[in-house]
Amino acid sequence: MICVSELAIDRLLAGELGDLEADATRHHAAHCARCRDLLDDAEAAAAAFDAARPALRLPRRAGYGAAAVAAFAAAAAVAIMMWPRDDAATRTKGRPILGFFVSHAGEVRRGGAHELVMPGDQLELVTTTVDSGWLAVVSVDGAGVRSVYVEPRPIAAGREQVVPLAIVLDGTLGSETVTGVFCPTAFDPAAPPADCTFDRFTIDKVPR
Amino acid sequence: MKLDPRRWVEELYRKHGHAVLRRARRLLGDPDDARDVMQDVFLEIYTNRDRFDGRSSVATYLYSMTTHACLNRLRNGRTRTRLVAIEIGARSGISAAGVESRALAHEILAALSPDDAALAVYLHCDELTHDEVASLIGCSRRYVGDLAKRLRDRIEELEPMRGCA
Repeated sequence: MICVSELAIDRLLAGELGDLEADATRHHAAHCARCRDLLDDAEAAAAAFDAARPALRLPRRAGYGAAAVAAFAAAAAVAIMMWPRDDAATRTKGRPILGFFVSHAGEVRRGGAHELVMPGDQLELVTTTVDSGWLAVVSVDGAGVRSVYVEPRPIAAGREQVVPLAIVLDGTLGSETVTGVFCPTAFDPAAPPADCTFDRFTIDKVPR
Repeated sequence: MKLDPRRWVEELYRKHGHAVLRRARRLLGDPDDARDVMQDVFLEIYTNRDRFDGRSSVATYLYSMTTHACLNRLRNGRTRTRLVAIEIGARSGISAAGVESRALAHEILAALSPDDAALAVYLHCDELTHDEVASLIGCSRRYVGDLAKRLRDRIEELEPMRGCA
């Protein structure tokens, strides 16, 4: 057997080689100093990586860089400030409200019940509450996958306070329910305490 | 069952991150640059996950992606084209002529197209077989042979140009 490449070693460690090929590779490495060193180094690197794995930095949702999200957030904040107030929001007394705006192809619109959205659209969330407190936002998408859009964070009291995190929608189509969890103190979104209240909206994601 | 894309990429990272990091370290020679490339590779996968069509193995796909990401970084960044210098120098055991060879390697790599530069790395640095290169770039073994010949010709064209500079 000829010496093994690093690609072959990657495939061996990933479990992608068949039994025969894997055995042959390990057998060769046992009798070849160069390949044994390569394999030992790779196994040591894998062990070190597992022991101290760097955090993987992914955007909250697919597809857009931080600059694009920040640009949208700034544009949406202006649009939201200028937007006429929603009667439904102002009529509700005491109960927290989670609202949202949608940016599609550079245009921002207020979101409503079963708003039609598309992959790549961006959501900007707003809250309306009488008291300051804590907010988390969770979503269940069309595939039934639950995501925490917003980890628990403090929010100020007031009408249509912008949550400073834009959400870029991924390619999973169908109906997605977004729930705001409002609590008086910090909490675990997986098990919110009994004194928390909820508000939710549904968006319907359709293909572009 | 369709996995949540984020979880899918995180699972890939847990399983294959070490290989990406090791390869990036080897090609770039700088741990910080290697970590940046590793993040870039998995972010690219997350952003463009539809591009992985499953025709190659995951390890092969990541190997190719990491190579291109490193070459881009070398081409664009402060660690410009150290790759072939490190590899050819180390493998050849060059001492006195080492500096000269490295300079040549730098210039050749910088002058090649991104695909040819990746091919040069696969063939001359990684010493992959033509079968392995074929799996990396998604073509036949015979076509790799043609590419390798064309690459040799291109490198031979480039070498005399050094004296004209």
